[in-house]
Amino acid sequence: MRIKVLLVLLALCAGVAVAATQMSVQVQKCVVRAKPNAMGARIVELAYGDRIDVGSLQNGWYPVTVNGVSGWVPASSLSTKKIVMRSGTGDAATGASSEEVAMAGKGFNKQVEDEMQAQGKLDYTWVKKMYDFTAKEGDIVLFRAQGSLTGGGQ
Amino acid sequence: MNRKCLILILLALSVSIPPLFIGCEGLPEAGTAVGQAFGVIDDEEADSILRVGTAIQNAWQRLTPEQEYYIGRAVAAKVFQSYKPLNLPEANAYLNLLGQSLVVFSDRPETFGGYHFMLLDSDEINAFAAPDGLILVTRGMVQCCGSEDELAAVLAHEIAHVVEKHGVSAIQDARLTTAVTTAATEAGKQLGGDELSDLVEDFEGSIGDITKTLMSGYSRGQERDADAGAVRILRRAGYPETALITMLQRMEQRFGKTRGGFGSTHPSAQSRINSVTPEIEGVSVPASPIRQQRFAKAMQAVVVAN
Repeated sequence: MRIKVLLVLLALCAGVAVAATQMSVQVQKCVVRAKPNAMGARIVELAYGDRIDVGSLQNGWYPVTVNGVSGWVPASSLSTKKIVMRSGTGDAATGASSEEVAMAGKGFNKQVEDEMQAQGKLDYTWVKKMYDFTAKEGDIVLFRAQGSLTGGGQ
Repeated sequence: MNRKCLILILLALSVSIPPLFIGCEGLPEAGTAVGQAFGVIDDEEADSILRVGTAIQNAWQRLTPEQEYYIGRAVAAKVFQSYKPLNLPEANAYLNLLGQSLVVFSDRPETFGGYHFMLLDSDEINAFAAPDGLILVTRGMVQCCGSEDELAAVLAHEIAHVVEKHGVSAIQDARLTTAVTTAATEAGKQLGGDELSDLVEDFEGSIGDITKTLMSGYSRGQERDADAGAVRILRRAGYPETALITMLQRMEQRFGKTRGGFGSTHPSAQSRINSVTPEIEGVSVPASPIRQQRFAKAMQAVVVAN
């Protein structure tokens, strides 16, 4: 009896794991890389809400295939929920549950931020400037090489 | 066993297994249904398992990365109300190059809006991680570091707070009722007066919860997790893990010369050293004159600006 129960539970888990293979990009820019490592060569960039087929999770990275090319995407950049970008779509109209669908722009959004500024509650001047502070991938590679940083294990 | 063991298995199925699989929201129900069907648990026990299975997600865990992005921007704006930015392009460029070279080795290399680092014009020894990756470091904190390796340890600690979402975890659940309720809100729809007013009020409250925590300090457990996360990032990136220890020792020596900041808000440096020491694997990393030179050059600008 106990073995039967365990078999049923295992079958249940296996069935769920195999069935759910599509995920959504939940960040503004998601880079598909040649290796499961954020220093891996860039293959293509995905956008917020893009749906992709994924394989089995390995050390925090999902193997993906985009336009016939294989690569890797960090698990933290993907969601199991479908992200609805525009109003009036089928999912929004049918009232799919929040467990299945995430509405882009819901809740705390640009309109709320604009209102905070309009009411003079927050000044975003330097926050916006911070987004100009970034580093190109080539410069990071050079920075690491010059500094004898030979790590790279995940 | 064996009834007890089976209930434990079902509990494990309800609570532990779902994160390992994709789209397993239905598993608690499925697990308990199987248990009931085989007659090993009664209805009351089934309800109990379901409660455990569904109560593990707090309201902040239901925030989307996009909402975390808007929260993080507001938290950073709030920090800028108390601390002036240190507008030194070369030093900020160095800080971002160093920060990005660590971010790529974190468990969350991409956030909704990406990671961005900036110096603050303050002698206080402190650093702040706003949700989604806006990281602010005081001049005092940078001057407290004796090397690029130690500054890397500071940044890695703040990156770990972002990875673990410690900032948004400070938000009281009640403030997020409207923000996480999606059924009535269609994407792109302009919010009405009352709805917008409620959301702005909840938003302000949420920002207040986070900034209060940033200023008064995370829990000891969260600091311990961030230190452990920092050690992992340093090791993967090729920096010496022990840089976190030497940075903490240096900070402790400086505490007498500063007010506020890490000195009054965090667990003591010694208790953090004791907690993080077991995480260190002791990978040998040779010293690099180039790292020291570029750190000294960037620091020169910061010192001159004082």
